[in-house]
Amino acid sequence: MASVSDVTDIELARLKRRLDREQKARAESEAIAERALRELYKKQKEIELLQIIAVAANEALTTDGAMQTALRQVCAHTGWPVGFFHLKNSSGELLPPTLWHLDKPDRFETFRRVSEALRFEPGIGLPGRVLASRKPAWIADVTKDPNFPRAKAAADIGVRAGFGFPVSIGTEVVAVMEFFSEVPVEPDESLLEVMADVGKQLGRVIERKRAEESRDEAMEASRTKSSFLANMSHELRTPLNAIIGLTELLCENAPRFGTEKALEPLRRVLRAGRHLLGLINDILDLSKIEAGKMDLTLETVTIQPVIEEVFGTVRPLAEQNKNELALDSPEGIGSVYADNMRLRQVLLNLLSNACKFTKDGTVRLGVTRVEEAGQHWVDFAVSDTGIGMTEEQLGRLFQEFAQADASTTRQFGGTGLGLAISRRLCRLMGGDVTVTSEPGKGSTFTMRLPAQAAALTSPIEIIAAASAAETGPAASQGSHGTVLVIDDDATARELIAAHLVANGFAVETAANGVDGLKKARELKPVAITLDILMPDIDGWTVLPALKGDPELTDIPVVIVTIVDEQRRGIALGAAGYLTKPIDRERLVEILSRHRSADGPSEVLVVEDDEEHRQLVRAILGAQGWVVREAANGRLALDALAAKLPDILLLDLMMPEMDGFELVAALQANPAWRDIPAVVVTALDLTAEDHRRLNGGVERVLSKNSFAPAELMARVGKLLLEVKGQAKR
Amino acid sequence: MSSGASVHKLLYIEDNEDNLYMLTLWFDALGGYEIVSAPDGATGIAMAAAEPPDLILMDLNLPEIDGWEATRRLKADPATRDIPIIALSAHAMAGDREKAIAAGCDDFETKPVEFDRLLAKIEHALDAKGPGP
Amino acid sequence: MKGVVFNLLEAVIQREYDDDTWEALLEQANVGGAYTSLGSYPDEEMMKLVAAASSLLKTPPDDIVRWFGRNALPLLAQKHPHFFDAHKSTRTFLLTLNDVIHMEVRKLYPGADVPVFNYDTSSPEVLLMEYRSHRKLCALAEGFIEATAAHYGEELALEQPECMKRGDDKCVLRISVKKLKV
Repeated sequence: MASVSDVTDIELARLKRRLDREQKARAESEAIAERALRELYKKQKEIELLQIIAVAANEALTTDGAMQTALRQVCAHTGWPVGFFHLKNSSGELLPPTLWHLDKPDRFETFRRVSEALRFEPGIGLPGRVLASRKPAWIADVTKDPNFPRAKAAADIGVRAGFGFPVSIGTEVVAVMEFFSEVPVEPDESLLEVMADVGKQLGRVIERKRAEESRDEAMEASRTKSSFLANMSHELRTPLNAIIGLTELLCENAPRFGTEKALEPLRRVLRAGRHLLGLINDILDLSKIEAGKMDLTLETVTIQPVIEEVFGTVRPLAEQNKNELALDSPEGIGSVYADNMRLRQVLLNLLSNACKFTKDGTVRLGVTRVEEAGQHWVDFAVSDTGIGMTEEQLGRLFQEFAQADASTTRQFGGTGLGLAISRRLCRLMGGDVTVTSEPGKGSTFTMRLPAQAAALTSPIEIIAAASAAETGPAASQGSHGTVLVIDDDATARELIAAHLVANGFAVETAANGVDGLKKARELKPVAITLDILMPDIDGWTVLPALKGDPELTDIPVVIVTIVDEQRRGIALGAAGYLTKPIDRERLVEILSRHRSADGPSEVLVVEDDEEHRQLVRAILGAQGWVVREAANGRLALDALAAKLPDILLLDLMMPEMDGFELVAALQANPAWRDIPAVVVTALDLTAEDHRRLNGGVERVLSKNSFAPAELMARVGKLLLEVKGQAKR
Repeated sequence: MSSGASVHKLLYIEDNEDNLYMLTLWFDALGGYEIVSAPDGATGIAMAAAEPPDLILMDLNLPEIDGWEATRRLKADPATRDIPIIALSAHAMAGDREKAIAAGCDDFETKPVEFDRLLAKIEHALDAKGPGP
Repeated sequence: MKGVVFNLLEAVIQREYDDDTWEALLEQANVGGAYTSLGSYPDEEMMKLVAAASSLLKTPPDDIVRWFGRNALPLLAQKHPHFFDAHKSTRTFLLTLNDVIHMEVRKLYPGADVPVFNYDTSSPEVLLMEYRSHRKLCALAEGFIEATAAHYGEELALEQPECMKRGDDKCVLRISVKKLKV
């Protein structure tokens, strides 16, 4: 029979055993917890390391900066005092350390120099084996490793463990980093894994740098190409200018110079010179198109005036071959969406070809509106009753320099480039040129162009697209952004604002220039409408101030004015453009529009090329103009201050003050801004140049006769265009 | 300048009217030379065979038979073999001169033609040939 | 095997029997008994404990295991109610074993060797669960499933058409449940 004390003893013993077990279990729990915490801490440090290196990689201005930070951080993280960075050169060799981190520079400098003096072939030494294997490597004790050329130096200096990892882009190793400690250390796999990640991050830094460099190179190449084309254009045209101009002069004035006998050779020279100019223009056009540098300004172009002008130019050519010119174009044919200048160029090309290859026949231009596959087009069909072409000739038609055959060039002249360029231009404008022909009967060339801007038919859509393209600071209200309306007339303000708001814009107004400028700077609106001819307020102060402020200069300014006459409006900018070599007739024609009603008309010629000045003097003098000259912009301003001419003829590219600056100065001065300025340039004007010339004035709209929808459409169109140009 | 007594007859085989006009004007001003011309190779060969000139100026860029071929044919024909030929070419590429000499030309000149230089070459070729028949 | 399973066994034995029984088991099985829930211990120790329980309680080992499962599950439900509250039926609960429950287990017990179940849900009334494990603890699974059905107030019909202990290459549990009429 068990006694009470026996039972108690048994219980006690049981309890003690239980206690033992509990204590053991608890000790084990704590051990597990400690291990877990240590692991956590390690992982955290690794994450921090990766983060710091990631940030450094992103923010580093140079790759060296990023690598140096990485070296420092890894040394800090591991506690290892030595880190080296070996870049791989373009021949695939590892360079000696270009970057390093030494916690104790005095002590480890020697080791660094030893490392610097060695060349690590793939597989040799620590960096070599990382290069070859493309994987991290660990050496627990470098002094005992058979493949460690620096073993002796390491033993002397006190370097024991080492690890290295690749900096790679994909599978390509671009650099190797290695680190050393003062004591032997067993391999730490998880550390090596982290280092592999670091290597990939750093690889991305180098990859980004490479991408930037190649992009910069490409941009530089593109810029060089552009300036080459622009300079070539200028260089080639300048001497031709003298050749053609002076020869023309000699021909015109043969009786006066007593050189009638020389007329025949002179005429041949002139013809050859013009032919050469045509070739140069064509080649430059083609070069620009090929280089992707052809700047087209697409806009809604009214067809009627274009046809009239082109017909006028082509008529003499038609008469030469006794051809009749006919036009089939319905009343109210409307407009087409194209580049104004290039549209004329192609029409001229097609019509003059037709005239050239037809004798005693008819050259007909038929303009029709067509709808096909849901798209609206305008077809310009030039048909002739000329020699026609065979299938084979048609095949070669649009190639450069391959006119129907070589004898055609001899017989009919031309450069052989016209059609190639015409087709390229049409395609750049969103259309095309096609041809049908029958030998002996004639040919029909059809240029098809979009009737309106692609896919944007309603003003609302245009505006929406324009504002969607805006990436700058847009205003808070209004889904399409805020437009600032500057006008002293309250009714005008309300009217414009009402229409803008109805079309999804938010509107802020200003009643005068000062307020307008202030609000423009605050709001940075999507666009500004500006009434230039405000009585008490000088709109001309506001405009240059807007354009001169780098923060505001890209905001399109739409001028809204009570002036009706379009031409007068254009005079606010430039009255027209001429290119060198000057087309004598065009020069005379443009200028004669500005002759004063009474007394001799005075022209101020601003041009740095003396030969050119003399040429112009001769031409205009013969026409009865009083010609004053200024050799540069500064002298021109002096001349203007002395006496106002009726018109200015100015060259854009001049030393000291170029034509752009002069036009800006003209527009800024109320006394001078009404003088029409005709610009002459040997350069091809880019869209940007046009804008600068217009003094930042995009278009001139008339308040008196505008229809709200039309105003909206124009505003929207302009926003879209200008945004597109500003972005380029 | 002009070598003196006789007038030398030059046959210029050239299809470009302006070039022909120009050279003719030059030689007219100079004196001592008579220029006849042919607009293509075949005509030129025929003319040279019918009435051999003192020297032939051959444009290499001709329609139908090109200047090389015309030169070869002229040099192959005993009637015209001895007439010196100076080639005129608008191409300015390396090897063109050698190519011309290889085809049988006696000399070579690039366009645009520098008249004085061409004249020197003509005089040299005529002297080499010796006083004509 | 993770210590948590041993802890559960101890808890069940202590509840259904008493401390002395647990002590006796430990002595009979000749195991240390200091099991911390996150620790790992040899599978044999569990086998020894089951054998000791079988001998002490005069019950076949499989029945011990099944009984253990049936009684351990309510303790688990108490400790981790959210796993159970998310369902209203044994069937849907069982389907979450791989993705939800054993996923949680692995988070807490890294390296825990939990079995993966394959399901055949083609029939809405009958759920087939395939179980493969070298430990052959299908009896434990049976016990758990029985207790789960009780937890959700369902009548359970459970069979093992295939069993590794009978020489098949896998165990297949055939489960059909029906809500109990209250």
